[in-house]
Amino acid sequence: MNSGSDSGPAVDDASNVLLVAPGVGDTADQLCGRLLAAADPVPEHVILVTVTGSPPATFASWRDRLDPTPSFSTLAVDCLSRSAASERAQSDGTAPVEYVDSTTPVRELGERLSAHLSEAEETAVCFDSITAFQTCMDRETTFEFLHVLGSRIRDSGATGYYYIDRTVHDEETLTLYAALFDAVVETGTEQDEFG
Amino acid sequence: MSNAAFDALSTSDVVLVCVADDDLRQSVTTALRTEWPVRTAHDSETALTSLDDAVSVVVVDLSEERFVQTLWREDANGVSFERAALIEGPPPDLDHAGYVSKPVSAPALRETVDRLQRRAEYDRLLGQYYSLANRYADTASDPQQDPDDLARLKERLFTLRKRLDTVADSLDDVDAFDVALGSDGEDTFDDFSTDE
Repeated sequence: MNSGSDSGPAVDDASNVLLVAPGVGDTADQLCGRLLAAADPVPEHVILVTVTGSPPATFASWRDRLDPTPSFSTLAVDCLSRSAASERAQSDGTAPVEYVDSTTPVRELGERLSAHLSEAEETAVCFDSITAFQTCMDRETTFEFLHVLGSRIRDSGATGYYYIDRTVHDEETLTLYAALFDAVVETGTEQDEFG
Repeated sequence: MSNAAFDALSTSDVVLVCVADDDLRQSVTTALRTEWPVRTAHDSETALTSLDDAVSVVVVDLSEERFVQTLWREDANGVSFERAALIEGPPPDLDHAGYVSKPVSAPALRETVDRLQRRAEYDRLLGQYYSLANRYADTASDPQQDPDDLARLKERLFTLRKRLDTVADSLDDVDAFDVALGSDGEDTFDDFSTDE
């Protein structure tokens, strides 16, 4: 894709990084884990934002690879049904899941995430995913929402990693979103560009 | 009036003051015109005539029913704008509404309008950035792209992005998300006019 960015140093300085993977979930998740492990310094806290309403099962798979192990939290919003979560699913107990129940879940998500960011620790945000988000809102609103999110993340000194599924969107859409980010990392191509 | 002179500069931060009472309209105008170009209207008809793309903020005296119907909304004449209301009594408990209580304090009014101007600017720039990013993406995906064209677009994107980021940084979370997400039906400004 036409990003003109590469991994490595560009990622180190980036506040907001686009992760382009063939399919979100496992692959993108693994990529995020690897980037976090390579980050300098390793974040003290990781916030996973999931748009599908359920935290990914693989979350814990790379958590222990990070040294020292950060604390984790999850913000989950189901913008499709806009329903209040009737029960709060327990993760493995060490990663609290906060469900965003609201009539305006996206707005609430944005404000809650910003509130989490103002805590003074090295924070990374994994946004799962732009692809899922676009099923809830049109492209322009998604784009604009991501800009606000990116500005909050940048202002707080955190780093954001945003998944997007290469197999769902056309080249133009990927290039469009890339305009919002400081660096783009792709995986699942013939040559894995990272590492 | 020197509105025409201001308009000739292709500005888009005009404040439209819709107040029927002459004295109040005068003092509001005086408070604002050191900062922004101001147009005034004493009735709805005049207000709608003056409402064009150059207007970013509309100040409405909410005690005047004539204005509430036509102007206490987010757009009119196909123009979208931010709203400030002059009201009797204390502002309702809506942190991010643009309410100013009478008697109107000039600094309070300016501060409110300033915030609304920044919202309007962010809205404008976000739209522009989205359009430009689309053009860039289209050009970049075009097998017969002109490299100079692409380079120019990239440059423009870079410049616009810096302005966009600066304005975004100047807004608090509620305003910033509000602008990006738009009004989705939870706007309670309309409730206010029924005197809740």
